[in-house]
Amino acid sequence: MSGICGYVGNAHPDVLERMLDAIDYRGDGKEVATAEGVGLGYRWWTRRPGKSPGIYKEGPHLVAVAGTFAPPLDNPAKSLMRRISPNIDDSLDGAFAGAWWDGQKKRLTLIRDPFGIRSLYHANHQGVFYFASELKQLLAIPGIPAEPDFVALHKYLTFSFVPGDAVPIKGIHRLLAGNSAILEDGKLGIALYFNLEERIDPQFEDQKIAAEVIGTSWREAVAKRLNGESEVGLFLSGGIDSAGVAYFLKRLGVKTRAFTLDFGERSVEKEQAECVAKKLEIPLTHVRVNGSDLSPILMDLVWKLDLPFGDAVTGPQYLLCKAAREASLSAVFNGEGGDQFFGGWTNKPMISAQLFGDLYGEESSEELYLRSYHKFYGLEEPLYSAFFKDQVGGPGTRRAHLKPYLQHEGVSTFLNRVRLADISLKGSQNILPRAERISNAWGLDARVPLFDRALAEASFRLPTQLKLKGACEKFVLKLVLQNKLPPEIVWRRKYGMNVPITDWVLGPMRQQMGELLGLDSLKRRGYFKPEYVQNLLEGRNDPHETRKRRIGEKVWALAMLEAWLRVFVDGRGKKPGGAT
Amino acid sequence: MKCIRCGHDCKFKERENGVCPSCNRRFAFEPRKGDPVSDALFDAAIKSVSAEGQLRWGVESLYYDVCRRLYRGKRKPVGCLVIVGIICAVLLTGAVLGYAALALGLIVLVPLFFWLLFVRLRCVVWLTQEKFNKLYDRWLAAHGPDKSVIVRKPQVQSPLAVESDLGDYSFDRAIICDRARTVDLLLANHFHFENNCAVLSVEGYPQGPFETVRKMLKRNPRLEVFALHDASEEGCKLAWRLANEPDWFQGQARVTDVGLRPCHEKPFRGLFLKSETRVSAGGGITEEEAKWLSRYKLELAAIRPEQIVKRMFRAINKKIDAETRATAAARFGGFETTHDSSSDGGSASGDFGESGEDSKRQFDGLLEQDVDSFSSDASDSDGGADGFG
Repeated sequence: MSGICGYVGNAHPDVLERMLDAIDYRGDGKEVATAEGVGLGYRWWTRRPGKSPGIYKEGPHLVAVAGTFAPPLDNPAKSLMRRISPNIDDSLDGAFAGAWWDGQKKRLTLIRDPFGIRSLYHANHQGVFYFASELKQLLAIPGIPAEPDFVALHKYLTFSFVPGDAVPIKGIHRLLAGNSAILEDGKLGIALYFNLEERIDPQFEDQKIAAEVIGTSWREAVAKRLNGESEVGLFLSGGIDSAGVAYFLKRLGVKTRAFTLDFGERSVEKEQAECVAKKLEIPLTHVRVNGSDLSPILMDLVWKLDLPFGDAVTGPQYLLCKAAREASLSAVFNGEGGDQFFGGWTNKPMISAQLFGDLYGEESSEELYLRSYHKFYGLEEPLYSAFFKDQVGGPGTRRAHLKPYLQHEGVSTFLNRVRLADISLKGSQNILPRAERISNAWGLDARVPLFDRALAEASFRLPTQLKLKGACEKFVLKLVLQNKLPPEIVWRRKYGMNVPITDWVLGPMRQQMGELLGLDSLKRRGYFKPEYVQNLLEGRNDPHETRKRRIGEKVWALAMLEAWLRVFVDGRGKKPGGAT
Repeated sequence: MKCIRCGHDCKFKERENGVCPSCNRRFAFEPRKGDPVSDALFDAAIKSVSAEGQLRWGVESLYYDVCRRLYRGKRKPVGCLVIVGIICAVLLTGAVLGYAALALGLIVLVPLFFWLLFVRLRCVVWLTQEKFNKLYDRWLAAHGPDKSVIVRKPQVQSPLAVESDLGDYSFDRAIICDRARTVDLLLANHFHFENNCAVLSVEGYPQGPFETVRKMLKRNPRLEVFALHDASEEGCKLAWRLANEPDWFQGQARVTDVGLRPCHEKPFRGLFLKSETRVSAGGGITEEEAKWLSRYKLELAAIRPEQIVKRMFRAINKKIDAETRATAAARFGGFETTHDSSSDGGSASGDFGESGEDSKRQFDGLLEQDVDSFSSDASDSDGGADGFG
């Protein structure tokens, strides 16, 4: 919840109102503050604890902060200046994006939280520097072009999100997680203030000590994200991560209400979620989701997501948040991050590929990692039209996003290098921003305790065998919880949450998919070869692919992209028909 | 005959020099000069084994696809067989009634009938591997290698020389093959990557990571093992061997046999090889299977690569479903709990081998056979034998 915006340069102050109005679902209060050549805007929910009560003004200084710190402070905007000047505080953590204008030095500082839960975009237009929490706010600036960036779209089709500092609109950039930016004398300098380093600690060879330290950090990470709410929500999947968060909420005496997805007979972990809720005596609401539930919310989802996100889980997550909001909650916890920090199943394909990958000599670790997203990497030829291929212009820079992690010389183990790539890309640029936006769509604060700075740093002090022990994933988390939760929850082999998306897009959502990806639509857009997309819509897989789920995943990713193009390129980010 | 490069359809007289008159490129084959195949047939076979260029494949798969096409061609005279049979019956009636001319016709037509019957019932391949190799060399000379054919790169060093921690981990499952070329097929098509799966041959391929991977497999007490093999003596003993040898999975994991066995033979007639040895029952082979294996062999490569990959996905998913059901139904005790292999015996007999009690008893508990992997949907259009047979 909440959002900020601003400009430096000769802009009309009315632009702040436009930018705040573009995110009217981010709060009932709004404020603007201006000084010579600068303006800041802030929108927030009044009467919610832990938020800045307005733009902070102190002498020549103006500060606007969206979000909260962990642990929470009454007025994040007031404390931001002191925590980032002269140096950025080593313990700065939470979910925030802030802007500080120092009128004396004529300097603007922008900062995002360490893991990228909150977003911040910026653009230069007609000599003015603009920034905002959401892309749609920048598109609300009169005259700013909304031209698609084809290289960014090409990356979306590989990753299912757009990685790096580019967004799919030309000229608009994003500040990456754990970065701060200083604009002074018209020059923007960006610096990383937080990154994870591998420092294996010999004392963690003792599993008992490791489990104690991680258990304590986990508990504190949950406690730090409590903000005085009388009751909080929890998205309980039945896996060990959210079950652990549930356990610590219970231990901390927090009144909790859990929500779990119910796909009917296609549910994978429903029984496990019930088992955890029963054991911890937490009320559990099943949120039944079917394809027919997603059609009416699709355009609102796309609009609120702000950037294109192509994983099918976003639809069900939207309905989970809706249910939490209908239960009058304002904050929801989730278990995201366990896989990224503690060695979830996503490591395994990369290990396998590393061992066997050199036999035929054609693919690097980076290429295999890209393949693991299971979207359109390697399928450019059958999918891309000649026009789209021309616009992309070449193989692009997809692998360059991975190299800093997969070839990181300061990390001694393969597993930790893959972890870094997962945290920095999938975590910070996909899971976290989309969770924040989906929660925000229903006025909820997303609390992600496993993306905690201290806990993350502890995870990089562990020997890797405590993360992936043999084939047992997240071993240390299991040690933490082994006597606290039932063994069939703790030691169960995980197969991942499968959203039955193929059944949905080829079933109840067929008409909507046909409209978004039909021949007329594809011809009008001109990006993709209709025969490839038609094959998918008719339920035919790629010849080398056997898993039916991949059809739905691909259809959904293409449909979300087309819907995003309609809202943000054709419609310049304005509220589309069908949005609430 | 059509040129596969330019599509020009030319008469034999125009291409007597073996060159297309339109694009001046060489044909690899000339059926009018006795070649059993045309360029178009070879091209279609390559498209088929490579799934239109989307799968990597080995030359052995092409061999069987060409054989399959030749066999299909020879099976076409089934209608002729019926007509000849009717004529024979008429002539026979005439001969019985004393017509000499009809009796003469009978002398010609009855052998023809039996020759056609022989064609129909012939089980072994029509084209030998040696003849195919010569044809393939000619294809390469005229058209060059297909980009999706699997070519092994010389192995210079084990990945462990670079990554010290890899050996500390394990896999969820392992596929052990009787042939290195089957390993190549799965690895080159990223099967290991998609399924967190070790893929090894029983004889030690791929050499670089082999011992490391085998040690890694020991680190997972809940490992799932699949045996993938030819219907040959060595192949049919593979699963038994994996389940009973201490170097492999004795006492550690159940082995699921997903390979070809004699019970799968029906859709593959025309692609058998002649067996060169007399096979005895035992070591996972039943009496009935031994009889068949003494006459024939059937190589896994007779199945198109796409189908092999699909069947392996299916076999793994069946295992996952079974485990999910078991987890929902029962509570297990903890990570260190080893699967109790004696509690839940799988059936090894399938449709074959009600005799051979010795072998059957050894199968119980250690092994199970996924007889569906190749045979259950063989009659489907996308079935285990390409709808062949």
